[in-house]
Amino acid sequence: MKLSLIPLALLSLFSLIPTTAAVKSHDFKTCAQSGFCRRGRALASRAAQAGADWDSPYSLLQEGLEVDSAGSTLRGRVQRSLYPHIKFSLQVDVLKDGLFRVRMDEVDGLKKRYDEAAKWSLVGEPELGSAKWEKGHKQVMAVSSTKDGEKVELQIEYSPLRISMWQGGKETITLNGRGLLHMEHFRLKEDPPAPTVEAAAEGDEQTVLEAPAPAERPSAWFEGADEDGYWSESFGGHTDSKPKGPESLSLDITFPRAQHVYGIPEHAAPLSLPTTQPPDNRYSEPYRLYNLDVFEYLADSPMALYGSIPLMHAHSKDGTVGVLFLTGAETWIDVARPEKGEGMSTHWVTESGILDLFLLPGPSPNALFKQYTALTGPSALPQLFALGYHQSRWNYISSKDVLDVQRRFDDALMPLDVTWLDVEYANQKQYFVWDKSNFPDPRAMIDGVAEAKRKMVAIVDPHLKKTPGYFVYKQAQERDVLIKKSNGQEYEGWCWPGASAYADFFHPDSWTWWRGLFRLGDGKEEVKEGEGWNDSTKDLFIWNDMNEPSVFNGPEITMPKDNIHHGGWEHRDVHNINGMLFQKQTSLALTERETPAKRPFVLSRSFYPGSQKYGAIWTGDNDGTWEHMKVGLPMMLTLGVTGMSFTGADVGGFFRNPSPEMLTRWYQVGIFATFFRGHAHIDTKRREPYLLEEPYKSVVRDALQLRYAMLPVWYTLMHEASISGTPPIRPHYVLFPKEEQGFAIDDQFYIGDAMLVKPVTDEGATETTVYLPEDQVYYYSYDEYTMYRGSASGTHITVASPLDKIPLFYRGGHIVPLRLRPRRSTPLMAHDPFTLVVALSTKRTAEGELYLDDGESFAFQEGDLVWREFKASKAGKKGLKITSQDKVPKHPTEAVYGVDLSGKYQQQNAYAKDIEGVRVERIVVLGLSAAPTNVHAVLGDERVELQFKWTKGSHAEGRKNQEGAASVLIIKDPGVSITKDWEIVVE
Amino acid sequence: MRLRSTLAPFFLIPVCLAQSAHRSPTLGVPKDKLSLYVPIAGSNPPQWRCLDGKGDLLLFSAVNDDYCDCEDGSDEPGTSACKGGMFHCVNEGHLPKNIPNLRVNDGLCDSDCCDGSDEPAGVCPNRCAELGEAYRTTLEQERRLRRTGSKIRSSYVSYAKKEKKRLEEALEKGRQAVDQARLDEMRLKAVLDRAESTSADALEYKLQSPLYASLKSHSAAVKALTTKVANMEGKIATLKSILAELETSHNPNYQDMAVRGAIKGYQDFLESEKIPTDDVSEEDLEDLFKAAENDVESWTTEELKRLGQADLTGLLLEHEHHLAGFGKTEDSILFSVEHYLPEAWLPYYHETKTLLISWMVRLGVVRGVLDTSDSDEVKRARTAYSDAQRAAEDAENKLAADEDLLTKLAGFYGPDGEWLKLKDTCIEKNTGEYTYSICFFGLATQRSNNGGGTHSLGRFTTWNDEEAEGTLEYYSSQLYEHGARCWNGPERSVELVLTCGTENALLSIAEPEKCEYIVEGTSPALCWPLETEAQTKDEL
Repeated sequence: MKLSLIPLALLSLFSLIPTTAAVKSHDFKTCAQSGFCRRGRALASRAAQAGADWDSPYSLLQEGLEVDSAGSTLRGRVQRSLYPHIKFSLQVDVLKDGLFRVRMDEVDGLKKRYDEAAKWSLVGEPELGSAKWEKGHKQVMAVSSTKDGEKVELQIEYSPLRISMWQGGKETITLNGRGLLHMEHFRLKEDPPAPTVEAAAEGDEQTVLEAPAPAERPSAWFEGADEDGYWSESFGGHTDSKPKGPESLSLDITFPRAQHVYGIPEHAAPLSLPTTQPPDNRYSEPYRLYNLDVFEYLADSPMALYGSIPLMHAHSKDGTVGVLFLTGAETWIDVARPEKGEGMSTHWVTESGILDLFLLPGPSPNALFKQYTALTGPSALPQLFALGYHQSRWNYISSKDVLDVQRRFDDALMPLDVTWLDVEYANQKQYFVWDKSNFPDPRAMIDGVAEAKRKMVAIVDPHLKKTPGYFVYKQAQERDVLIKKSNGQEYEGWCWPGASAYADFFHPDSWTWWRGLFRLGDGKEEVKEGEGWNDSTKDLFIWNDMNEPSVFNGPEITMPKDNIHHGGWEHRDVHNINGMLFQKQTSLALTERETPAKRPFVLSRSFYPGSQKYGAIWTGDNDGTWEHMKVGLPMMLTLGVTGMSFTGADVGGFFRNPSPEMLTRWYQVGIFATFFRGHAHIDTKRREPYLLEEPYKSVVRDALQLRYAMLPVWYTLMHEASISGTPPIRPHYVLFPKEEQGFAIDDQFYIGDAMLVKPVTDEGATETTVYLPEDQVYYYSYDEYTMYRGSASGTHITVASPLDKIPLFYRGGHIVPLRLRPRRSTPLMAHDPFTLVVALSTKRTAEGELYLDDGESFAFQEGDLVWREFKASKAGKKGLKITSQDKVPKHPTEAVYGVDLSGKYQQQNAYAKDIEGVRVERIVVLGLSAAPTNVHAVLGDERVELQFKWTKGSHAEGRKNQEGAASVLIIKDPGVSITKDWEIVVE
Repeated sequence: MRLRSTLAPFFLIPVCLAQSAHRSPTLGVPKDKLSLYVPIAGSNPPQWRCLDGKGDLLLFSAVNDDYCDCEDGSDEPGTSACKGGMFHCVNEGHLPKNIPNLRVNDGLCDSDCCDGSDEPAGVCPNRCAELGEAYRTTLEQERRLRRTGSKIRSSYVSYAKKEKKRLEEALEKGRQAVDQARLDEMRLKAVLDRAESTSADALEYKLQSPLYASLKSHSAAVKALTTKVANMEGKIATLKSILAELETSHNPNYQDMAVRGAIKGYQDFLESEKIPTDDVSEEDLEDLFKAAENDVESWTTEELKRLGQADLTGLLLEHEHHLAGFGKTEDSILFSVEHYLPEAWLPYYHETKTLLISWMVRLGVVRGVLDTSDSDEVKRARTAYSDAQRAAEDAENKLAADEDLLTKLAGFYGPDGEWLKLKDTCIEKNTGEYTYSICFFGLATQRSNNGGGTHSLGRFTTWNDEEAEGTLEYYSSQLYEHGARCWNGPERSVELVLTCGTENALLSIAEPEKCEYIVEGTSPALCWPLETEAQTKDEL
């Protein structure tokens, strides 16, 4: 930072200026400051006041109501008593596996409502199912069923229009039950009534009288008396011209059976969403979905953040259902828990677009994940390195600095995979163009980093410096793929480079152009400017930041809503989708740049349903406070249950300087995020973990090494997420959907099914309370193997958690694969042996799995992979049998998403051959009841005696509650290959 | 992952799986420990015990079998099986090296292990001959540099020796000078006391004049006013600086409406006010003074300040003298004001003087005729005494400075005083946008090459005080601190990291954290003679 001199005499004044200020709430709208939200809430309050007298004016006409012959689609007309001449279409699709899709649009309106959110978000046209339809006098009903054969009914009442889903004889989702459905039709702006002019009773003078109060609109009982914010609105000095007038959509969605609702990220809020309406509401504002760059956001608030996923889970011990409200526009959601036993009621108001609503029947969280995945696609399986540690800072200032960071990680024996460059690498923030004074030879630098098989990431943002000298801007202008103002001229906003233009990724012409920018040179011949990126190598990956988009001088730090995108759509229609398309194209660019292709890595800040297909996201510019460390957990859990598997928060907090204790604890939290990155603001002190003093430094090193030891676990979980959408880190309600005490727990979570962690996020903590659910299951602390037993009603245990302890447990009944040799980077672990930890259940059983592939290419899609299933089971009275089996032949359609490997897969595939020599070097069995007399491996016909070590301790079997250190059996070097089938017998 | 560290040896040893078949038990063992890696004498099958002596006996084949048996990791010197160990590379033909064992068998040929012993046989070529040769060449180049540099350094040392001699002589003379000056001072004090006591009564009478009383209260008023104005101007200047800083340096990342509003307001304010800046040109000043002549209200702060500081008693006496000598030159009338004039202001002395007189005329100070009696004598005595006082202080200061320098010559200025030669030597580096300059033991600055200002990056505060004085490391870095403060950040500071080189030069400037600079440079002063380190370098 080069700043001008400030006289010393001013120092005293500076101490009065806080170094960082909290979020400027007044920079962002409240519901009352947003016209359509204000109207939506007013509608709800009129309905509440009217009580039982309130009737929705919307009704489905029986005339013309038809179901197609396949029983897949119902089409009809909706009429509204307010403006009988305005017509709406209603279409209900029966989708596969018991899902329903409800669409409603204005017919022959003055303008067209935006209807492309699904096009950008869904993987394709959802597969139609078939239902049995019954048309009655008051309603029409469809009967469908879930994958598991559970009956799902959809009941559509004609007048007033009310749609409800029924499962197991109970109503689970109700639409328009409170009569808040309202699709504002397009209308013409009427001139205000002219003032009446009358002749004065006496004399020549005429008197201009006040206009008489207009007769109340017939629709006032429903729409309100005024045209509140219909035609333009201003906020913070910006005016939204609203050329289309009012077009918002309001809908109440009730979950009569639910106790909790989850989802609708991104908010810095608890996992179980607190209510925003009485009674007992924690928040007074609705949850807002509007992708925004919020400076120093609050740690407990329904305010909008960087990304939006309008997917909500509604849950109780009776089941889980979900709704996906596909809209790309700003959306506000009120949540209420009316009275005990009445379920959860929500009210959604979105600014524009058609109604495109998906009803997901569940009935379990795991079923919901699959249903959502089928709609929006599976999360991408990342390269293995991306699960390692990422070291970032705004900014590493030179090639020398970057290489110095590598050396210092090595010297400190700390693993590292990726080193990041923020905006300062780019000459005048012109992305792709290096600042050659500090990075004279980028390729040499990246190659230097890659010596230890490490990678780099450089930032590329969507704002383009508006100068003819910048080839990216010039090309975008030539191709006419820049976002335009409402008057059709090129839009200019301010961002890092100053005056900037913004590429429009809704424009198909932008796609190939953008992808071409990342084409690699061969290093010999210069890639011509604009035809690729010569100063790049295959080891350089990309960070897409500021893609909400962030516009420093725009309304709410983003783009004016009346800006125009490709196809003439307003920015208001597509705002929340915008960021995803940018990440998508960058992600495709990285896939295309190599042959054979490697998996891309692109980090984005903004996201939308579907983003999981394109890379990682992080929780943005968090604050270095304990509160932010804490709220990072529910934020990630929420993202996980809404399809975003690859997420994390900046370790240490982006703003402020964390204390050594805070930074240390943050690393202990960060290692349990799928995306694990330390990052810091340019104003902060350097805080790379090697800079810490002891004991912090060693504690952080242990945490980093634990992360790397658990990489087989993480990779296997990312694989599972890429198939089923099940999040790698799982809140209690996902694992125990029937244990009510766990439904709101979000400060501890499961890593897959096999490990439980309660990260310490309190300053000075020396002990921590952990909640243990489920009966008949022991939890073994990961370092001491101390046993704790849960209970169905929930047990709270207190464990010591001084600075060097992480409350982390193996869950009884599970087998965990680890790699205990801490290398410098993940690729260097590719041929390291495995340790299997077998945590026995009370029934002397355990199971686990391991997924492996080359960690970088797409060869796994052809079956080049290793997927093992481990099982431990009783053998004899006290003995145990541990087996490893190939999981692919049993589940040929679940190894690769959308691919059936039957017939294609070979156990001896190229990858399996490559790691043939990789062995299991150790098996640790916890909780066995008696000392073995013999351990041997069975390899085909061969029996090989094995060495082992037995340590007496408590065992998991029997009804009696065991405490203290578990018994430990360590089988030394069983000499079995990780790729082969084997059996080990403990007698 | 911390597995339970109770991995005592295995007591059941039915079959030994052949993991260790191809690995020598002494792989990775440093020379001095080779004797520890042999089976226990007479044991059959051969056995071995962990080096920490803990646990039961192991089969000797468990050494380097790629499985960690010992709590201290001593059974795996040649594999990565035990956490935290070191692997010894013999590196014949080059320097032997210990590398962390986590680098063993990771598929990479470690640059520190040129013999390739960190990976299985056949994976890594032996590059020790090649690398050893390159290393020796580099070493020789360094030595050449050191030799050349140390020649220059010895010239610094001889300068220091000369200086030492000069200082020692100067000290002797200085002490005499101080003694003499103190004697003079005492003598003149006595003269002044005499003069003052004889005229004290007369002065006391004069001080009771109503004119003096009036002058005194006017003066007090001027002082109060001046202070108030100065405070206000200070605050305005402060606010302006903050806003100017904000305008030029605000971080758009803050995206802060309030900041943008403040900047706009500031620009409007500047536009509308056209406030004269602090750097008043000579013409401006003259105009101001002229204006002041016509209008009492528009006195500048500086003038008011000087008026407030006037020696009233002196003025009273001068006043008498003036009346007595009506028609004489007025040159001496403001003698005490002259004391307060900075040198830069001397050109305006005459104008100021004229103004003061006219001011006093307006106030009615200069009026009538009075007897001036004996004030001349007192005045002369006072002047003579204060001159002598200053002379004595100067002599003492010079003496103290010389003594300080002499003390610092041994230690602070290097083991041989070599850095003294470089005191106040300035070295520069142009990085395009800025030119950085560091004056050894003085000021470090950053000067904009595009017409911006020059900022202080700090003044010398210390050598590398993490090391002991007298070591090479101690003299290898200097700290310059308390430079201009950054917006929303710390005071600028510089760590100057130096190595031996034939020139005093700056090589690179980096700002790894905001406003904390790391500057690398060279100096012959760090080229210590080769002999002192020769032994350690001769390991090859």
